[in-house]
Amino acid sequence: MKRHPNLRGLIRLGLFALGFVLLLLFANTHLIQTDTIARLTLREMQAREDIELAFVGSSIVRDHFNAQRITEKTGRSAFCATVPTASMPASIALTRELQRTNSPEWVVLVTEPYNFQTVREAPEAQYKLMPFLSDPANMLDYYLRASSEDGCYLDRLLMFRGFGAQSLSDVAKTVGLRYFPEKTYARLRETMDPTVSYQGSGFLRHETDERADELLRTVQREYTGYIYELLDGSKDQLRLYRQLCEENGSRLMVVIFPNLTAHALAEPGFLDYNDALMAFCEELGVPCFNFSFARPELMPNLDEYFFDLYHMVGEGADILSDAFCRVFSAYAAGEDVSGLFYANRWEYLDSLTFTTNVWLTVFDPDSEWNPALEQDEARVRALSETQDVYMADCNHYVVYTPEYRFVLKNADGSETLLQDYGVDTLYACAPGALSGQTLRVYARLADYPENGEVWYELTIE
Amino acid sequence: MSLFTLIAFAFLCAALYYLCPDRFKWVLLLLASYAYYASCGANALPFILLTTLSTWAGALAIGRISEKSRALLKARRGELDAAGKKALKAQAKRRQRAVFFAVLLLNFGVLALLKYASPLLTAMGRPALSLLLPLGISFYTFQSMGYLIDVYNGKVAPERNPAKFALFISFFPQLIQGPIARFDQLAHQLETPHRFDIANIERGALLMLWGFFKKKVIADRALPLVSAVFGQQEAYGGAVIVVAVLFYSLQQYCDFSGGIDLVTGIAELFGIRLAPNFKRPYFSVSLGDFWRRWHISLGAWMRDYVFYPFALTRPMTKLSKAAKSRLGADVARALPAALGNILVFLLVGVWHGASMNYVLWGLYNGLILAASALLDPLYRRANDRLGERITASRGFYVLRVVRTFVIVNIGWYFDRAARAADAFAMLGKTLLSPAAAQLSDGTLLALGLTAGDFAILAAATLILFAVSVLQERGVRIRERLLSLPVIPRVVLLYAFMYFVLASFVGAGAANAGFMYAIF
Repeated sequence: MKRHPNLRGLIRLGLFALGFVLLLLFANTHLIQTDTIARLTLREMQAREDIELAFVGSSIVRDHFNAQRITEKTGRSAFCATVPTASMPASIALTRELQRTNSPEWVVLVTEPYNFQTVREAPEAQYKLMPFLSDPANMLDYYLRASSEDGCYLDRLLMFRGFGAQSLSDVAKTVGLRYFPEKTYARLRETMDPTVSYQGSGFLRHETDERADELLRTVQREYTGYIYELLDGSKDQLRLYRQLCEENGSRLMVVIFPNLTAHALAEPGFLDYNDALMAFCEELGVPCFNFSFARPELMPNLDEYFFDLYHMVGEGADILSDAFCRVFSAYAAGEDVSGLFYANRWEYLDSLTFTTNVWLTVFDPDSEWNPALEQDEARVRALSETQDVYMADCNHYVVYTPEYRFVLKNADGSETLLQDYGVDTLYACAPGALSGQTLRVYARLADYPENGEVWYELTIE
Repeated sequence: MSLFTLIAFAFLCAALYYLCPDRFKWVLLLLASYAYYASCGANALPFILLTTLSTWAGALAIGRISEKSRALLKARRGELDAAGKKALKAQAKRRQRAVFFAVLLLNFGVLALLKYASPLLTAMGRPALSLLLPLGISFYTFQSMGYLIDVYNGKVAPERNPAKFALFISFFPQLIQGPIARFDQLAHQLETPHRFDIANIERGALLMLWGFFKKKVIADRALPLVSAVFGQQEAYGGAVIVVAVLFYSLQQYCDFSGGIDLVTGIAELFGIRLAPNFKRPYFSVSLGDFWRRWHISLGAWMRDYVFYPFALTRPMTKLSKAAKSRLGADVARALPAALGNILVFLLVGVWHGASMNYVLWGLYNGLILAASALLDPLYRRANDRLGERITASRGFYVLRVVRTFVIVNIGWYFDRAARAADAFAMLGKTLLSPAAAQLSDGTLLALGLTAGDFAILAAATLILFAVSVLQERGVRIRERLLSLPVIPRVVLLYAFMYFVLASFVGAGAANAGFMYAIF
């Protein structure tokens, strides 16, 4: 050895590098934050061998498929294999992990436009899932699959950078959840949000009085930045996913989650995505059910149960779970379930005889983009020369006409009518007349006033 | 090619280099260098080829004229008298000069055209040309012209093999931002096949890590604040501007010297030693000292190929003599150097860019250096009066370092501002309206850096400062580190590597390339 200093040096360097790799592995597994529920879910899934009906996906699965309720109603042991913000790469990794100890008869892949785009899987999903996968080959495959979509190989490799522990209690939590998950959860439970509880089998129940009324007003007709077409990469991954299920003897079903109605009305391409996914599933021979298109006899509109733009409280989850059980049981029994859903988007849109949300905009003649341009631009511009112009707009299906009512909200909460219900979208007044006051607008569909009204208010500077 | 790809590429090339038969090692380096340059933009290849071939052919022609002249003199030794020999030599020199200036003009002409045509046209109110500015063009042009001048002056023999010369010009680690190498220092190292030596790998990798730390942990993290303040200086008071200038000092030094450490480390993987380009410039005791420690290879280039040729010209000698009787011997002696400094820094300023702020920055430095040279006798007398007890004290040293730091930083206002007017406005605000409240009212946290970023920067700067102080005291950090017992060495290295990996600015953030690559 002494005669080969270079060889000795190389071995020394190799050992040094190996040591550093081990240090990085330690950092990636112990010096990071941990998603408590994702960890508990994975732990439970790894310990079980009886799963017959597995739901796979992101938090829309975790929060909305009540596994115990589904188990009771379908007679099949159900489980939600999820990680928040998961996209297809995470779903594939989760399913591989599931298949290590389980051979479910059915795998239900639950998706929505927001999480089915392969390029959009957030690194956080990987950070929350990868440290707890038990198969290094699965880890590597997942890492490469996720990185190849966004090119962030290094950031995803060094997850302790973006997801590093912020305090010693983070480290203690991660270590605790890794080695003593149940005990640690019991300890953490006291400090966690009391409106949220892990119910087992991967289901997380939300019980809050909050609703998405305020947030809903942010869902307006404008470019969101999302791409709703079904990408080739997504198709490839869905093919792979089907193969994965087939190899394990599972039957695959795709379910499209019923997002807030406002998304369908406001975001261009949202419904195109659903159509494209359903058509592709048909091509693959995979059953696909779009629960956005559920007829009232299957399930009511669930908008009122959303506490944020994408998640529902437990009551909404129960309704969705029941509807799913009805469809699933009938389909598994070989019955035709097509009558439970609208046949296409036009039938669905026709059923939307209400507005989901309304908003107000102050006309700014210097702004490059202005909602007024979607309205009577010439009139708005003409009015704005001598008056302050406030424009109302709302989400509604284009064949129905909305009408608006403008009121002044007084300090004591009472309202002073400024302009009663009518199709005019504009309210104009003398310059500065409303300064410091709160203008509220109500909207409803002219032909369906009985279907309720929505409101929005703007405090004028 | 990103920094990470460059590092991976360097290690791959090093592995291939040591597996390659000795006689092909330099060929492998040449291929790797051209592959690297092509990956940065294949459309820049014709420019580097033009410089390489014209310089190689020009130098060879200059050499051949010399050889022929010598051979002719030898052959006609008996026939020629002294006047005839002198005429023959003069004729050869004229021909050499013609070739020399043709190549010089061609290459500096291309550089000037690509670098200055568009800004000048824009300044004249005409539409700019869409000209490509090849990466590293200044560096390889300076390097090749230095070689040409050395051949012309008979300091080095011309390289006969165009491929070997092409390697000297294009050696990939130093191609983009230097250091500007001398032919007699680098060419033979490139040609010599180096044997694998683990010590080179360890030393090189360590230097690369240090360079990476400076570039990706410090420089790139400081960048958003600098860009935010200099990009909208009218929104900030003098106090925030001072912070931005200090950050710019840090960013620029760490970007450039970090890049140099990285490329020097890469060269060391191949057993090749590049000339040092930085020597802790912020520990300088005078502006002259600073410029001997900052971008050393450019300073040396300017000294050898501009300053001395200018200061030793006949007009300068005459001027010095004429000044002696009127201004005294001290001033007369310093006058050529003073004018030479002004010229050199004016050129360096213009080299930075064709805008008034760079010209002013060059003049600022040149005038201070000129004044320093002319007033040197006064300083000496003042120092003598103070006595050695004071002038040799640590306090006096620190005072001189701080004074130099302030002088250099005033210059950075002009170097970094987009326009000369902005630099003056920022200087004015620094002196007259500091708006110190902006330091504590949250303004600093709205400049693209979070509190965490500031903490990382503070820790990293502290490490940089501690290492620099040790180096300034003569401690050879790498050697000291590599000679530590195993456990402290491994712990120290792991801790530092972990810090670097945890805190470097990665993809998605302001992922800046090297500042000097655009020159």
